[in-house]
Amino acid sequence: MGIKINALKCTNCMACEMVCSYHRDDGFAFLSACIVAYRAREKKDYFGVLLKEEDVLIVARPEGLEINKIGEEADPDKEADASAKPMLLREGCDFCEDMDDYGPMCVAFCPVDAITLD
Amino acid sequence: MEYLSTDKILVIDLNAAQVEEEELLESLVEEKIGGIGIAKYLYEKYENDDPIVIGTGLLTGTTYPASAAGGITAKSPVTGSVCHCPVIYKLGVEIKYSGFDYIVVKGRSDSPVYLWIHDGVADISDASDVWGKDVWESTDELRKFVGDDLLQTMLIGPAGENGSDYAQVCYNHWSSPDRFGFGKLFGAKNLKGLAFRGMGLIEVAEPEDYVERSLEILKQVKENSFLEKKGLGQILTALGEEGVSDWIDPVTHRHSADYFTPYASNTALFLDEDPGLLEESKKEEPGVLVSDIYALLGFKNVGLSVKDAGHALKACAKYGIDPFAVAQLSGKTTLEEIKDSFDSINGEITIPGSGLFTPWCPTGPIFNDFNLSGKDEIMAWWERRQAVSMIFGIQPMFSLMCPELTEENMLELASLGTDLELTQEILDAVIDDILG
Amino acid sequence: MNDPKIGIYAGSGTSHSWLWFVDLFEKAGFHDLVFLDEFLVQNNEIKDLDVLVVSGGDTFAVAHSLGRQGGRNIKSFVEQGGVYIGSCAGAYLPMKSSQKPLDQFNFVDVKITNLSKLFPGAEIQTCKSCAAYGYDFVFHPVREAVSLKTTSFFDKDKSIEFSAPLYGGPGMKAKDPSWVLAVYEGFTPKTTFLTSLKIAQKTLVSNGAVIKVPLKQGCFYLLGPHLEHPKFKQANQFIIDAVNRETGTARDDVDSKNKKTGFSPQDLKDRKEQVSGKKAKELLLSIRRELSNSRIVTGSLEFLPVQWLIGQKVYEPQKVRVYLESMWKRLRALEKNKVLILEPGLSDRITTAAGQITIELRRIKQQIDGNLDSLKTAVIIFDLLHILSISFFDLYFATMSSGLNHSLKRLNHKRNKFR
Ligand code: SF4
Ligand code: SF4
Repeated sequence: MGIKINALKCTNCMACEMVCSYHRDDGFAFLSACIVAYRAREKKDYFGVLLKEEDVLIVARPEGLEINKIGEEADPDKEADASAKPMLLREGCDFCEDMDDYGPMCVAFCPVDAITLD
Repeated sequence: MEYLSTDKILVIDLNAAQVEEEELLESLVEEKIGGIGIAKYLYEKYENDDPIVIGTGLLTGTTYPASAAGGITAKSPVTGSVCHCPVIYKLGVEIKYSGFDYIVVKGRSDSPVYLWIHDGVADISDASDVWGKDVWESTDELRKFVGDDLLQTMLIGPAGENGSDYAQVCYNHWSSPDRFGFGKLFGAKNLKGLAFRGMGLIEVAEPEDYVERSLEILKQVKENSFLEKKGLGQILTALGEEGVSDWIDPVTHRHSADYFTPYASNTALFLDEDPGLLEESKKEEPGVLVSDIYALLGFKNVGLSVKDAGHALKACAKYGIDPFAVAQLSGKTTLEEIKDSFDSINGEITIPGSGLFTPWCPTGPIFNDFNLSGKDEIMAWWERRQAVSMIFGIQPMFSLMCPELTEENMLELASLGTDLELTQEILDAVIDDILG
Repeated sequence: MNDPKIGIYAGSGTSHSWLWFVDLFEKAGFHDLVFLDEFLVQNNEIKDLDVLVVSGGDTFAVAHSLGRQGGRNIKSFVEQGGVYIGSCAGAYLPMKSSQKPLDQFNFVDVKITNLSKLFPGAEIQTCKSCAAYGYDFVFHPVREAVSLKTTSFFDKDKSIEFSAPLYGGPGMKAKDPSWVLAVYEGFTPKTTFLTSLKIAQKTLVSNGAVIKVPLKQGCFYLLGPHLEHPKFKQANQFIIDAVNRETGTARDDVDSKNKKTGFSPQDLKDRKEQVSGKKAKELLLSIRRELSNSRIVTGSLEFLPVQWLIGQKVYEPQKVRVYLESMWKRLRALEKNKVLILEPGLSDRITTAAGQITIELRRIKQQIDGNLDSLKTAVIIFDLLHILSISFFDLYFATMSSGLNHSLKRLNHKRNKFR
């Protein structure tokens, strides 16, 4: 099972980010999401979706998918700990396994079906 | 007020440079529900201090479809009466998550200031570094200063500082639905604007039911075939303006949506960059994001090329002036003339109905007919729909598209979310109060 | 019986793992916590503690900053009945070494098993930073969760298995086998292998993971893995049980020691002042303001590919956030108090450090955006974070355990709405 993101379909609405955070917080917030609607390049109209899985970071950019392995340290001599990862404080995607009625929340709530289940 | 709320009302006195907080009482929500229902109440409470009330709807920032909107309530320099301007994009949501449901700005500051609202803290900050700068420069500068590109701003540009009647309060870099000259009001208060950022948590009384019902409603919403479409051009086509879609196509980059909103009603035009570019542009300012269908149409109608229209919209957003008013009132027909005319825009634009809501929104249904007929029925429906959207915090353009977002299910979710019994009678009374 | 008095070393050289100990002890209801930097250890402010914790970080840097005097004080603290708990770097610290400045901490006769000279010719990823520890080459066979098993010296009737994450900590062989309370049992599906399975097994399995070395009236607890990591509840409980066990018996000694030196806990309380009303409100607002400002910058650094090599350790911007969140999540509980308890001067120290962190974080964001060197600023930021968090926790625990306010437990149940 995997989450597939079509960045070209995405409209940057943040629904996925909200519901992902909700499934961890039981309230409405954004901070705990492991899927993030990237929107920091507003003037350039450049947006996409970041998804942190257990040990990869998936960057769904309009121009294509990039998959970064989190476990691999750039420097083998580096004395890093588990925190040496992007989106450190965020848990990896757990496919919303505790949300029985929904399955992956981001898939269920994406209004334009830019996120699907593989 | 424990749920769907930050529990806080911020009262800022610019005269005294003082910040106070009030609790948002449950009883007030039981009486006025939220959004412009409460904003109007706060406006009246502080009426003698010429307040601007910024607030969010009761459902803003949740999983209810299109729960993106906030509002600005103040006396319009254009109409002379109290009006409500929607806050769109991702700004409405940021307001709520920055720790306050409502912000009342009273009085006038001696020197230029901006309000930095973050995580339940409100700072009145010196704006001398950004006063005199345009909206884009100011937004960029504030983002750079606080070190966060996601800072959401509500700022005026030179038009507001100079007291132009059609000065607009802009949202981030972009034009807003403000046709009320609220930018002039900000300027008169020596208020450059507000910057918001928050990482709060909004609690829900019955989270599981709330989210479950949200999804059911969303599923119904998604049945609409218009959701295969995107962008401004398609909205105009649906409204009978056939040519606009083809006209903007050659410069259209992508369409984006407001928070949790199924229809992407914002269209980015690339003016100095290949619109087909998928990678991040190397140009700093390749184009402009447009949400104002009538401003776009207005520039088309004066005879501008689509590129020039885009440049005109961009110039208006930077200057902080209502692009629709410019297109309507400048009497100019070339880009250069239009840009030179900003300081001399005057005259009147028509605010429909009772004048409370912005004609940035089409004054009738979009994509669906809602079983309406006759001008009066449509106008009455439109005003009520605008009021409801701004009470609950629903993107006001989308609520004109989507019959599945009903008063009934908004009330249902509001009740689930707050544990209060919010009934149709209460809503009717709030709407009556707003519509007068 | 009073809470054990626990000192947590948070001075130079430590990583953020001491914050895990703070969470752990707070949850366990130990609220008599003090936070120490190298100067306080050198001034022997540890002498009246029941427990001293030295957590992870850069062993070399910790040893360097504590210095000879710090080493002497730690030794006499233990000799007089204190309990030293060292995890990861804190476990390496008191082991025998000829390398300066570690030679000032030769307190326990324990050998480490993750030494490259024990595996001549093998393909081992060595670790430059560990070479400086003076143990030939220390290498790290695995990372992340490993499984541990208690020995009969811990409990002769039954053996408990649990897991804990290993981030560079040692495998150990004790001179006296009865010191070994838990051994490495094996690996878990989460274990990441940095060497072959064979070498990893040989290095760790059946070797000491948790060792207790007695020294006169006190003892050293050495933890190879981070048993204090918040995600490993059973491992956490192991530490809590150890503290309860050791301080339950040590208490009398300490009490008598207190009498000897004339120390009474009241002395410490007397040094503190109560702040309430407008002054308290202003202090809390300024903490909230600056923590929020800092969190906001750090949030935007979360996605930037940047890291800094400070001393022997690599730091990412996310670690800044760990510090900030550890304070932020306690702020709301603190705000509910009408009276704050703090030492004279602490208020200024907190507001100055908090304001300075905002300035430096904003500076570093601009440096990173402009592709400029940001190492110096990072060093300043982490120093300031240490100062701020030590001061903040002083205020927090003094206030929350003062009995003047709401009960701590009740408050902790409330959700922290604006996290
Ligand atoms: S499946 Fe669930 S946990 Fe994974 S990204 Fe989607 S919402 Fe988040
Ligand atoms: S929910 Fe779908 S459209 Fe919205 S940001 Fe996520 S992926 Fe994009």
